[in-house]
Amino acid sequence: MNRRFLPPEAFGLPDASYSLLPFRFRRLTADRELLVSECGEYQIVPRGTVRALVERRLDTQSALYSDLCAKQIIADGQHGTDLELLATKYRTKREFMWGSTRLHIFVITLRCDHSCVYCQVSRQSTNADRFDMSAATAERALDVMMQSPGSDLTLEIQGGEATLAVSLVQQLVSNAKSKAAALGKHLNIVLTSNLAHLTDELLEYLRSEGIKVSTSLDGPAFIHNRNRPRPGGNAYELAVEGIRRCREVLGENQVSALMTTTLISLEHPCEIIDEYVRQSLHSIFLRPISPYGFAVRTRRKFGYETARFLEFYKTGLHHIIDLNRRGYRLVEVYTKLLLTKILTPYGTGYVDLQSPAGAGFGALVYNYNGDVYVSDEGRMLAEMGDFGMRIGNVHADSRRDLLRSPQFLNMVEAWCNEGLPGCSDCAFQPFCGADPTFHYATQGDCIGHRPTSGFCERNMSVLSYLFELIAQDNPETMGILWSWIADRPDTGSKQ
Amino acid sequence: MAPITVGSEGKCAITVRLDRRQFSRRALTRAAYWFSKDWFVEFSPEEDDTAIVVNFRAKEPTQTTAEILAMLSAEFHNAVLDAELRCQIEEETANVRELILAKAFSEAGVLEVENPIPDGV
Repeated sequence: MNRRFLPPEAFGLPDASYSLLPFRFRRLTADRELLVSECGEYQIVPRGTVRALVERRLDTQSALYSDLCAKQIIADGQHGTDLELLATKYRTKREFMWGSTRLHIFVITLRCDHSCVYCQVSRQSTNADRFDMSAATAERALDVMMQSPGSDLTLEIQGGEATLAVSLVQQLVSNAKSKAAALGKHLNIVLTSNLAHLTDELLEYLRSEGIKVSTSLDGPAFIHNRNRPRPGGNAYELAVEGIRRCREVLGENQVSALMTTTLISLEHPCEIIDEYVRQSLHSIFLRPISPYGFAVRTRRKFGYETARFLEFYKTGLHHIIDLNRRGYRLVEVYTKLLLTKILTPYGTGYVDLQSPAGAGFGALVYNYNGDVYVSDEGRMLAEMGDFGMRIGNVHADSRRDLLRSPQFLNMVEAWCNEGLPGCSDCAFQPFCGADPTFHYATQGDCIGHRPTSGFCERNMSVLSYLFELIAQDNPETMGILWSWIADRPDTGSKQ
Repeated sequence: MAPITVGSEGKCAITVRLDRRQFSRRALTRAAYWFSKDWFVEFSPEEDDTAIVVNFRAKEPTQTTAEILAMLSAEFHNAVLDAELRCQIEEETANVRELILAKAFSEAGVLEVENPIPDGV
């Protein structure tokens, strides 16, 4: 056997000089810095490391040096630049871009029997069917939807209250399925409803068509009913009964609940979470109120500072982790989305936190009258008299026309956080997103002013908190968080 | 001159003078951007062109104290140092970054025009 050894040079000390690869940094705590590569790989290091790195004073024999090479924050003779790998990582993080507009939201009616304080719809009375989507509009909107190049589309049917127009729902679903099948596209269908008008016939229809249900549950009755008043004051009772019936007929995983945070919610994070446990739900999304619609009009009464929301979020997350520790699996969705971006090579399909922004690119909204918007929030701005986010109408415009409209192109100029002031050199850039609609609504232009941006403040605060949690590296906590990311039970949790 | 000197303009404003030879305008602008939440920030050159003068004026004068002003100059100093580092890193890695993005998207097929469905209204 001919055994050959590598030449002596291969066993020598590594090249003392190294080169920097693209990365960003920020001070994480008084004694730690956070480095994040262009592809979203991070390293938490002692304070002063960045300066040492740039000034070429880093100990090339240290474990830290090896870690930085492995994370492709630096490169040397032994650990080359490997452009191929970097490009693959960069592309993987933006996998959501492929297939373009996957989510299509159809607002089939403005009729509703609830008067939710944060509603993004100018609700109409339950018998005002002139605010229903016509058959012709639905047909044309489906044609535009099917022009999306992707093969996997989601049709989300909303209102108002969609179940007040069941015949419209049935017509829309039937046509959508026919068109998708003809084009070889896979179609997911979701019905958003307050469940106040659920009948056995409707449930059976939803089951037979494989339609998922999304509803609202803001917390226990005293919170839910206050946020979502309706005649009879029984929105909570109808919602929980509806969730029970949906799970019974459609299946456990076919119905999901979302909560919206209001001022009263901020005072009761644990009660809200405990309500989700009481209803045997296994995911909750601690999300802030949107600055649109009735929320804007009622801001004096229901607005709140970002700091209060952060406190709500931290208290809630701590309580949720504790519940998991005691054996009840409950996933906090916002945390899961952010940690997926931080701890895995992948991005997410969450349109509110993407770059390029999800508005218009990841999702389109078709209003009952055929007007098309880049997002729910864009539609609500129109309800307030501002049509800056209306990109066209299905009766006049094709998909190509919509995505070339002046309103859409105006938003496009601000939809990559890689090029936004403040974001371009932010360490959190790979994990955050751009929200042109939010900044247009709250600050008057799509680019916005990051130091006074509620979107920026909220995300930076939450991301900072999560990185501090990661830095603490508690095995039990990290096991729970990883179980959320991996969508599997935490085998380390107590039963 | 010292890299940074600070002058008080009263209870609600301070002036920071930075040695132009040690700090780039780009870094100063980036650092100052984040202070525009609570402060009006104005740049002006010194007469002899060796320094950049940055004036900070409180947006909420009634909530400004001497301690806040002192903290402001220290925080701005740190922010400028960090911004300089960021500029250096960007300058040193600009070419590689462009190559990464170009390679990532050129091999992804997103530059190809896909329109299998007729657009007709």
